[in-house]
Amino acid sequence: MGLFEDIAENLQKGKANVVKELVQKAIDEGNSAKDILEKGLMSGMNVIGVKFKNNEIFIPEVLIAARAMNAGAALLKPLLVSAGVKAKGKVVIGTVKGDLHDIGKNLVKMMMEGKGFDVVDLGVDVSADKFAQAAVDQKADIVACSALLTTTMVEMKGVVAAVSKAGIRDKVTIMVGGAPVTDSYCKSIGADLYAPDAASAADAAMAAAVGS
Amino acid sequence: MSRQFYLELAATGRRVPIAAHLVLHERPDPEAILVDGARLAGVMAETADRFHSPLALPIMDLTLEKELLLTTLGLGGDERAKYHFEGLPPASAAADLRTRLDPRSLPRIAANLAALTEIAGEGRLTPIGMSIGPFSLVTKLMADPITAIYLAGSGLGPEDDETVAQLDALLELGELVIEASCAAQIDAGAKAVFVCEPAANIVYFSPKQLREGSDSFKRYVIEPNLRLADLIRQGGADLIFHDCGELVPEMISAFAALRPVMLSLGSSVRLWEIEPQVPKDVVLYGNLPTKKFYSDEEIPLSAVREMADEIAKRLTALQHPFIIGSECDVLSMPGYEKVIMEKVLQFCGRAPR
Repeated sequence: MGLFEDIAENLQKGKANVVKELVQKAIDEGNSAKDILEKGLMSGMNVIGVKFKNNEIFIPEVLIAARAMNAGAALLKPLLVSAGVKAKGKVVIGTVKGDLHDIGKNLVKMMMEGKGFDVVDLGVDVSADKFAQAAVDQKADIVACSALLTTTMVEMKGVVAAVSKAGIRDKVTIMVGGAPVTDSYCKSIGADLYAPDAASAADAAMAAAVGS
Repeated sequence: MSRQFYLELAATGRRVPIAAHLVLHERPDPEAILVDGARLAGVMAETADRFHSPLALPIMDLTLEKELLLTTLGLGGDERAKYHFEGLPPASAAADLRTRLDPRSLPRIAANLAALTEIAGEGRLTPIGMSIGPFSLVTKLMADPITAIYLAGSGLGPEDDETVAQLDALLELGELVIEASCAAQIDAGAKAVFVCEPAANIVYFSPKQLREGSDSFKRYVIEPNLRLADLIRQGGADLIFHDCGELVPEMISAFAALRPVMLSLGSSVRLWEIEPQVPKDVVLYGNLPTKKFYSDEEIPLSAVREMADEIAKRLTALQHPFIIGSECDVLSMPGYEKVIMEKVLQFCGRAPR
C-alpha cells in the first residue's frame, strides 16, 4: 500500500495519531502538501462521505475520521498557504439564533472540509446580522445555516434578508438544512440550496463552487 | 396510578397530542406564564380539555435540569444554556449537589411543581411530570459527547481517556439532578413522569459499534434509566419513556425493558414494525410527524388523518394497545400556528373551538 493510501485508510479508521505521523512522513519524503491533502486526507474523507451516505457507517465514525483528518491537515496548513494552494471556496457556517444544536452543523463543516473548502464556523445561536457580517468579512462564497427546531428555523429567512441588506446577495450561495427544513421551505424564504444530510450538503457546495 | 390506567385509556381510542406549547403560545405573555404555577396549570388543563385528554401534560422543556445543575454549582453565569464543562467537573460537585440541590430554587421548576400540585388538587386530570433523561442531559454538558461515547464504546475507560472520565463524572451529576427533579415532581403530585431521552439515538451511538459488541448504550442510557425508573416507581408514579430520535431495533427493545407504562417514539419509527419488541402491556404512543406539520408540501392536511388511521389500523390488527399522538411536543412556530393547530385537531378528530 502506498503512503497516500495508508493515510486514507487510517483516516477512515479514525487513527488520528497514525495519520499525523504518516502525513509528517509524506512531508519529509518531499511530497507536495496539495498531493498529501488531496490523495491522502481528502481521498479518505470522500470514502467516509460515501459510506455515511450509504448507511455503512454512522455519525460517530464520521467524527472520529474527521478528527484524524484535522490532525493531519494541521501539519499541512502552513505548507498549503506558502505554496499558494487555494481552497475550493470559502464557507461561513452556523446554527441560527436561538438554536444551540451543533451536531448537524459540525458534520456539514467536516464534510465540506473533506471536499477542500475553507470553512469558518460561527458556532451556535448565530444572529442573522452575524452571518451577513461574517460573509462580508470573509468574502464567503457560501453561507450555510443549520436549525434543528421548527421554532428557530424561521431565523433563516432573516439570514437571507441580512445578506441581501449587506449588498452581497448576488455573490453568495445561501444553503439551509436541519431536521425540520425542507426544499420547499428553502425556496419559500429565498435561500438557494437545501440539503437533506451532511454528505449531500458537501456535494451541493461542490456543485455550486464548480458552477460559479 | 397503574399500568391498567394507561391500557384502559388506550382502549378508549383517545388521540392525545403533547401540545401545551401550542396553547401556551396563544397567550400574549408565555414567558410570564412559565414562572406562574397557577396560570401554567391553566394552560396544561386547557390543553388536556381542548383535545379531550385526561392527561395534564406539561411543557416539554428539556433545559431545566441543566440549568438547575449549573445554578446549584454556581457555573455558567448568564450563558448557562451554552455552557459546557471543560475537563472534569470540580471534585466537590457531587457532594455539593447532594447537599444543595433544591429544584424549587429555579422559578420555572417551582412553577411546574405548583402547576402539578394545583392539577392534582383539583383531581379532574392526571398530572404528568417531565424531565430530560440522564444521558441526554450529559450530552448538553459536553462540547463533544459523541467522540467520548465512541471512545468509551471502543473499550477505553476513564483512566485511559480524559473525555471518557468527563462523560462518567457528568453522568453521575446528571443523575443526581434528575433524581431530585423527578422526586420533587412526584412529591408535587405527578402520577407519572415523562422521561425524555432524545439523544439516545444513532447520532450518538454508532449502530456499527453496537453490532460489534460495544456495551456503551447499556452503560450510558439503559442503566441510568433503570435506576431512574426504580426511583419513579418507588415514589408511587409511573414511567413514560420518550425518545424521538432515530433508533435501531436493539435500542427499542432496551427501552421496553425499562418497563414504562407508555413508550413514546419519533416518526422515524414505524410503530407496527417495532411492535414485536414491545410487550403488550406497554402502550405505544405517537408518532405522527408533527415536526413537519408546518409544511403543507411535506404533510398536507388530508394526509394527517390517513397517517393516524394507518397507525391505528395496523396496531389494532396486532392487538397492541396504543394512543395516537405527536412524535414529540408540538411546538408553536411563528407564522405557522394556525396550520399546525389545524393538523393537530385533524388527527385528534375534533372540530376547532
